[in-house]
Amino acid sequence: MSNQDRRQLVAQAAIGVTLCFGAYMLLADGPRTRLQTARAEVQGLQAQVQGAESMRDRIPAITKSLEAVERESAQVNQMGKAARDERGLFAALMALAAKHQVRLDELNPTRMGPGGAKETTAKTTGQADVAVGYSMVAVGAYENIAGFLAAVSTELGYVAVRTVRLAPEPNDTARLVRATIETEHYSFDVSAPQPIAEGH
Amino acid sequence: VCTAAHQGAGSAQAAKAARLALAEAAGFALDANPHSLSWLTSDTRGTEDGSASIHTLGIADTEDTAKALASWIKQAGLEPSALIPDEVPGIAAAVDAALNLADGDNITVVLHIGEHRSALAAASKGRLRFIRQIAIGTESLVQAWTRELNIDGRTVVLDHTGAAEMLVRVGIPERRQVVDPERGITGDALLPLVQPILQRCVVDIKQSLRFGLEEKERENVTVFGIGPGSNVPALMRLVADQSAMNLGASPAKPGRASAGMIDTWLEGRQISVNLLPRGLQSQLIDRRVRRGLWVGVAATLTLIVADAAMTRFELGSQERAAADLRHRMESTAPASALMQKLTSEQSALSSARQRVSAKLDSLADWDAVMVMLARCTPESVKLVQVNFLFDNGRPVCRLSGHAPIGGLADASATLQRFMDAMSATGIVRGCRLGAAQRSEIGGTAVQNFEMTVSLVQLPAPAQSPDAMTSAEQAAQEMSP
Repeated sequence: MSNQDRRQLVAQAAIGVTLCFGAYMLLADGPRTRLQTARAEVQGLQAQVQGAESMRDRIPAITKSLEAVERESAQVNQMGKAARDERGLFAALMALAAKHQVRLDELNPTRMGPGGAKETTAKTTGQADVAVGYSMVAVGAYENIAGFLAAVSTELGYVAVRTVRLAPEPNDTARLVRATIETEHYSFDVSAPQPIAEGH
Repeated sequence: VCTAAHQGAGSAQAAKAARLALAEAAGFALDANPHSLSWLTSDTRGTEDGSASIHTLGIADTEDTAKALASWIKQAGLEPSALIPDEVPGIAAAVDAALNLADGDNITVVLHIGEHRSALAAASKGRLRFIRQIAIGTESLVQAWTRELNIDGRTVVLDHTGAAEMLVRVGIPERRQVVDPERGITGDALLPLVQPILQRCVVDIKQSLRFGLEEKERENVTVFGIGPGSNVPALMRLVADQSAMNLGASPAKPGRASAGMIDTWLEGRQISVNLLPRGLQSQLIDRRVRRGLWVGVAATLTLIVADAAMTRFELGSQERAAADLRHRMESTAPASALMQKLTSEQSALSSARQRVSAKLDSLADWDAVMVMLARCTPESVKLVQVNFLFDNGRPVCRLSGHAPIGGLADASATLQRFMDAMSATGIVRGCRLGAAQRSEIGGTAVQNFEMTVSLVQLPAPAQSPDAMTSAEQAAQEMSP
């Protein structure tokens, strides 16, 4: 085989390979890619449909569970209502003091974080939680102070009584106690995260 | 050239040995001239000492001869694809027949009588003993009979066709046999012409037997005739008698036995030898490669088209399946949405529970502690300050007070009872007495003390919304 023959053969082989490659790309490659995508889609849809169809039979149970979850979420929401409504909380504290015959000499909001009196954890957790702190000075009989503390702990939702300092009321003949109380009131966000809109 | 090499050396060594023998026999450089080697046969059984051979056929000719032959063929308007010497079909046929007919220890000899050349092969026990060429064929006898015949003083000349027809019809005649009554040709006139040829043939055969076989083996040799010459009447009988061999019945098929070299080649085993000129061989290879290339391209294109068609077909069915599944999915959308909502709300609630737990896990029931203090504090002990706080996340109670010294009760014993009473309650983990200092209050000697009471960490008290509601109701009642 001469050099010219070899060159011709190589050129023809290159043409043949190009022809085959071109034909493959033109005729087969596109449909193959689409077929792979369609196969994957069918596979995914099959799994989804299987799950969804089995779910259809469980709608009553799901509804029941959802109602229970919503009930519990509403409870959590309700428990945090005081922390979200400072005026209401203030009024509630005053009402409890009156109910337990305790005199509130001072009632001040306190700093709970670097942001000020009110701290939300939305930035870090993505949830709109609220925390409010109060410092109060209550004067009353020892047992009334105890009752007031019990009421604050149990009747104002999510409350943490952080410190209590008790001392006898000076120059008092009625054996009153002066209590300095620091409380924290919380509200926890139970709203489900919103799905991210497509295209963003 | 037919060469035999020991099987243990391998086929590559056998080919190498055959090439050396061919180069020696050819007398010219093989590389510059067309030549070809091909496996002929391998012994299935070895000799007494166990050695078996590979037999290789080698052919060669000069480039000029091959070119001339190819040129003639081209001038006749044909395309040469292979040049094969006419001995090759006869050799292959003789070898195959000898090996097939060899029976037991007896030596079987097959004589393939061709038109121009003959081949003699001997075999026994699956082993090719020898293969020889004899440069005599039926054409040698025909040519001899075309010489001038002296018939009773007359000169008679047979043409080639007449001589050939006479050979096939009469064969080797008897001395007094009348062969052609019209022209008065008898065996006396014909035999002297073919006698030297037959003698040379018999001598070649005898020498081949003598050199190729042991003396004892030569005592019982059966010869079979094949090829076009084997049908010449009395020829094989004459050869067998003169060579002291038994004549076997002709084993070949009728067509093959009576046919010429071309039929023998086409019907028999085709050996891949070729003496085409090197340039022509290169062109042939080039043409085959190109043809193979384009056939391959065509096959590949066909496969691509078939693949594309099948892929499109499957794609259609997959897309239909996907559409059907999407439709089914749509019918289950409410259930899916409900489930998604449940999952989402459960997740949010669970997250909220975790945060509640993180914030409110370290609580203390301070009012209960106040009740406990009221119950456990002795009458004589006066508490001047009580602090409830968390120390490293644990609830503690720090007390400051004083107990009277003297009188009925000792201050230390009083404080010890106080601590014991507190420790006996379920909410106290331990009591530790701190600094103690003696002083006077209102003229009475007292012992000031500081005490730290470690409390049991309690779970967060249940806080129900109902309680909150009541608190709210209370707030509403208070509001103007």
